[in-house]
Amino acid sequence: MRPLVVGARAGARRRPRRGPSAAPGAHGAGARAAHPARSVVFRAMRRSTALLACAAIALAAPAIGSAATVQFVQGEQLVTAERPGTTLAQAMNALMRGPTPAERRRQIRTYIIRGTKIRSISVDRGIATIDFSTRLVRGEAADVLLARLAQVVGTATRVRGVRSVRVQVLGGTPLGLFPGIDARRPLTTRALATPDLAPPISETDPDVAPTTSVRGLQQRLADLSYLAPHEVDGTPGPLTTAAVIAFQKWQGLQRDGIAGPATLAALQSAQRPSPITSGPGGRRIEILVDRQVVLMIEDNAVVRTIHASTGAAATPTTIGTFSVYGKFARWWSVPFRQYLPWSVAFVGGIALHEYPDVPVFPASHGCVRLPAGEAKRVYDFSSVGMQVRVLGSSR
Amino acid sequence: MTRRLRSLAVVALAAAAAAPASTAGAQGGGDLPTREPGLLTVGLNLPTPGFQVGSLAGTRIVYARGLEVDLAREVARRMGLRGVRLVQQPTFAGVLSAGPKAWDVAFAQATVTAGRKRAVSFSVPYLTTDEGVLLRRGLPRPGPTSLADLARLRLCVERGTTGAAIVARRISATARPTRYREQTNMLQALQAGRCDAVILDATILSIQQAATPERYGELLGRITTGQRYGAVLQRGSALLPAVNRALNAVRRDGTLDRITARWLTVTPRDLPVIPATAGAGAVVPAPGTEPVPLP
Repeated sequence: MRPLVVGARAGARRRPRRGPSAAPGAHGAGARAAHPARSVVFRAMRRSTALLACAAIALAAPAIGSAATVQFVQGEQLVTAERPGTTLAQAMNALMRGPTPAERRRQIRTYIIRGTKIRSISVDRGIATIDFSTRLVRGEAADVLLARLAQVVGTATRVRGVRSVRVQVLGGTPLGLFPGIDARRPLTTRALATPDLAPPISETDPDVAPTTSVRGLQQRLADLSYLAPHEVDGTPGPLTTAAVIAFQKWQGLQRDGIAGPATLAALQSAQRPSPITSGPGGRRIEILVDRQVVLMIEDNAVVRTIHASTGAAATPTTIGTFSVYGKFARWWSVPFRQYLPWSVAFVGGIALHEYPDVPVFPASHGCVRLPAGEAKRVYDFSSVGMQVRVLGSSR
Repeated sequence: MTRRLRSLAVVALAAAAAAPASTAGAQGGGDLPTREPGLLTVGLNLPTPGFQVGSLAGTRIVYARGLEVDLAREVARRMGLRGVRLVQQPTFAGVLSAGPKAWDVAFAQATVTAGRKRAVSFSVPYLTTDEGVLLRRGLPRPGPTSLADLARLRLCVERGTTGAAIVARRISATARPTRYREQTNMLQALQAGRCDAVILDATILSIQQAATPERYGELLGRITTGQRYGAVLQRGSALLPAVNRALNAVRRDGTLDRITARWLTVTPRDLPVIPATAGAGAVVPAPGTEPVPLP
């Protein structure tokens, strides 16, 4: 997986954050770690007089590689931010300090907990050994632990001369602390970017006998843009349930996916949804965060209304107007180590994509989760450059 | 016999060393013949998520957490000791083999069996579990519903575990499951789709599935064994009565339940029992699902 560069602005980088902050961050690693790392550099220089000249040039030449690149997370992917410095210690300290306020506003975040300490850093023949305090492995949520590890490995291996990273905790080798990762060997970005899961398979509908009452419901849902015409088959299934949920979300009804009396009554009088904003002709997408639906729009008319789940409270989906920069049939999330099928990426690591579990509330890492079947439809509908608008309020 | 004599000698020596304090009784830990005075040296076999994970420097465990880590600390406290010293036992087989140990007591999800008792001593049990069956994600539908269905799948087991024995005794005598030396590797193979199903302790599997549900398929159910985990001590260890007293106390006052609830987020007892053949009903234990004799 190629990293996504988000180009940091240098202005706010040094300002330490004070006081409580809702976003996760890191403090205090700087002063402690800088010294041992510097001594390592000096030791290495003393050891090899032949390399001394080269090393001096490297240290004195800020033009080449004058910026360290650190890895944060946006949506479901690692993104790169530039910071001053060239050494591993400088890069790691910048990582520990976390994103700038400006970066945070763009939903760029870190999973490394504030107060995580770097106990020592050394580099030997391309293998960096970085020893952390136990805060690096605090908590038991697999996604958080894996993202932290990916940030550390990604940042360290972007420093010149570092190929792989041996991550330690209190001077020991982590065993079972990062779910599914064997940390006994040095880790590389390539290893983390290599999928270790079987390719995803979209769940198929179970065999259920078609009924006329279901056909009537489906036809009405299709007329109102919640179901594709060819999906009106009289057979209940996940697509019909998702269509009912999308309808309930748009109408402000209870989101249970069951066509009960209130839902059936509303279906009688309901109108086809219309776009919230006016935009260019042709195809575009609106993501309505308050209603948790996605509108597929063609020439300013809604062609489909889709049940979706956007970013959870701690990791909200960025509000704004974007354009699609990439389509990936199978996107591998490097920090969270899972497949994101049928991804339509529109900013950093934020995409519309298929996910096995699409709850009726905002639940993702910042992406827009879509049910199986719907995600492929959005993928086929989209093209690079197409407008995607994320709206906080649609009423 | 030689082994027996040696362990008796160790006990005698330890008793002699502890003699001056012995009048204090078992309440104070000072008179206990532990390897390090005042400390309980605990052997672990990292990692098993939920039970024990941590950080290993040489053979010393410098950081650890999990059900068995909390339990070991509590046992040491109840024995009147200052605390624990955690050391890694590199292999599970090493926990259960006969002979001298580098630890006073080991916690490693070791099921108490008559066969194993010939080599080591077990404490009173601290956890009861059944075997579980975890499927891979994307297994073609309809999925298996019975032990007979499982026999047709690519099964994977961890070498030397109860799960390995279950396949031969309860699923199919002719099945040739892939046997893994390490649990971590076996679960990775399941995630990568190289196994259709793994058979392992239901407790361990439910923790795995709850932690990363997107990496696995369904936790199909359990195969009743009623197997019980006990702490392992060198055969004939003089510490056994004190360890048992501590474990009984931890159980009696609800501490054990509290520790178990903290780490076992899913109760394997709620899982359906997998019937021997399809149609036998997935929830009601079918005839013939009585606990198997364990190796």
